[in-house]
Amino acid sequence: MSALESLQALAGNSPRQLQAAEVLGQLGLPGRQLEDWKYLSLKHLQSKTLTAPTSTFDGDIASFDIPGLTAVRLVWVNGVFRADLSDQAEGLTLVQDAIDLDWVAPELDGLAAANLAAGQLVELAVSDALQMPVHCLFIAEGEDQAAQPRLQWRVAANAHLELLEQHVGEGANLVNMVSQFDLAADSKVTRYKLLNTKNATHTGHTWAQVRRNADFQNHFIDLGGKFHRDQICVQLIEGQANTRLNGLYMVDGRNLSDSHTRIEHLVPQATSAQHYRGIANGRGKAVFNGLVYIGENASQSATEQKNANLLLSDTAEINPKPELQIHNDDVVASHGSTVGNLDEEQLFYLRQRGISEAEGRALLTFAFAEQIAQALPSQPLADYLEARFAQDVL
Amino acid sequence: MLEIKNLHARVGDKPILKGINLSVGEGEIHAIMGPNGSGKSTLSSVLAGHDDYEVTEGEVIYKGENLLELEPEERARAGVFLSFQYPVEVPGVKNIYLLKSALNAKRAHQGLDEINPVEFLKLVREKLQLMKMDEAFLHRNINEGFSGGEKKRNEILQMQLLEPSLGLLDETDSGLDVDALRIVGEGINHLRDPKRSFVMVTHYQRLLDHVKPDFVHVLAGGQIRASGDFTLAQRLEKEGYEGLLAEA
Repeated sequence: MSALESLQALAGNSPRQLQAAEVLGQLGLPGRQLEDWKYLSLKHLQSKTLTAPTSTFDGDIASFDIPGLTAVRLVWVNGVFRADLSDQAEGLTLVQDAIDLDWVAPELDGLAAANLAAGQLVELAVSDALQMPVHCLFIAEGEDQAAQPRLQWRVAANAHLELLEQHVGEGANLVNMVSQFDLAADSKVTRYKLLNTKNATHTGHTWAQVRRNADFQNHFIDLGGKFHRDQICVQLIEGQANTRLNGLYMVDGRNLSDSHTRIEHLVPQATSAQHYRGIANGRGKAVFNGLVYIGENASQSATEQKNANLLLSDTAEINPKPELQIHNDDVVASHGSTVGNLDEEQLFYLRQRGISEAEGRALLTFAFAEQIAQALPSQPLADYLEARFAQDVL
Repeated sequence: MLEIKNLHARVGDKPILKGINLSVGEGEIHAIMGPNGSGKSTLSSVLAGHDDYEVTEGEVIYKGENLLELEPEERARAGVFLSFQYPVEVPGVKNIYLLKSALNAKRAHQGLDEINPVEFLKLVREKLQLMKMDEAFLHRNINEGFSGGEKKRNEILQMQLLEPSLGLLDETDSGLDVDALRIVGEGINHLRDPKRSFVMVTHYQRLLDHVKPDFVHVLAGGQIRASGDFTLAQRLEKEGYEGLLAEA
């Protein structure tokens, strides 16, 4: 059975899921025929039979904790929610198998359809009584399993959700995830998505809708893996809505990382900012595609986008594409993208202090990544990443 | 300590140094003064090993060794310290990391173990106090967001810690207010030692009021055109470069 057929066969029984399976059949799995998948190929997956996920895990859950981060822990093993391994907290209401509450149309691409067809939707409602960060842990175990977590967050007015979404494990699975965020007026979400899976094929879709004076911050950190694709779309749908999308992708060996971001300004007086950085070494390949769309009605919008890339080997590849689509004259917009090497003046400065050239280059590579870590609002996470970069690079 | 013989250097096709001769003995302080574009900063960059500059002729002997054959980091470990005119910002690397790495690189060169963290902190605190710098400087990124004066003080702080044999001070007085100039001057004086030499490159006399040189040289058009003791600097102040060079 092909990957496509096996994903169809995993569909649930509800009318919506059966319909999604049909849509999946029509769309097929995405590939180079789509503009958004120009640099990617799921060929390594196509002929595989993907199986229903098993949810057993014998390891130590606490080993994935971030030192200093006290959080409500929720655990998924291969996309299956494990209530028995998860905490409960005031201000966080969780509903399992909530597929009928779903608010996303499945037609966007085949993977999104596959997720809806088989995904077990968990709805999480956050009220202003929530006082602790939430740590969602996604563990990949085994091989060729179809892990398809589907999360829907409803964040109430004035609530603040600090969320760490951490992907770990050695499993060589398809992790095809969908996350949806609905931010009520005056709410705030600070989400960290940390990809730390080496062997999984990760395809993530995130949709967020941001209402009046609400703030959606997304910090995407890809520490490098076989195939990581992260797609995020944030819609600013009421005035004074704000979003910030930051990201860091690090590829080495034959890693692949693809970030597709889309910010839609659909009303006047919303603001957005983006800062993505990438480092490519070895035969690594990275893609950054950042689109900001400013609609006809979206006067007095402000948006800025920065993308900086460090290309450290002749065989590595970086494909940056910042894009602005502006349909209103009364906006402030800036964007810039660079691909470069290490700064020679900085390197000379370090060498003049007795640091060897090789060590200096490693230190500057570390510094390039560290700037994204230093910008994280969470100090424990910033410290964790600093230690991790030091271990990987220095 | 340092013998510079007939040194010629260029940037691209443009010759800048056109036959410098200079001898710096142990414990001596030399001031190199000169108008803008005379090659002052080029001289200190060449001595530190910046690869924008190509040496086309001449030699530099440092402690009996051919300095020009050494990589920048080897020169640094051998005791050559350049206080930069424009210290570069390195976002993402904390000052304390640089200080520790630099000190340990020097110690490794001397065959010593890495300094233990407690001893290191004690040493750094002592130097911070001397430069009237807050401990918070240690945890800020290298020079990032520092004022001009803070950057220069940070340079001298590093020099204090590394205790070089030869300090090259490139326009260390530029961008300093009166107070900062005094602190930087004291920082340099504190390091004066019969075994340690300095070459101070400067446009103005103001740093020399704080750190009194044994010798003053006037550099113009890529050559040393006049040499003398401290009174030469005083004459320069009065007569200006044009007047003095017309005589010479």
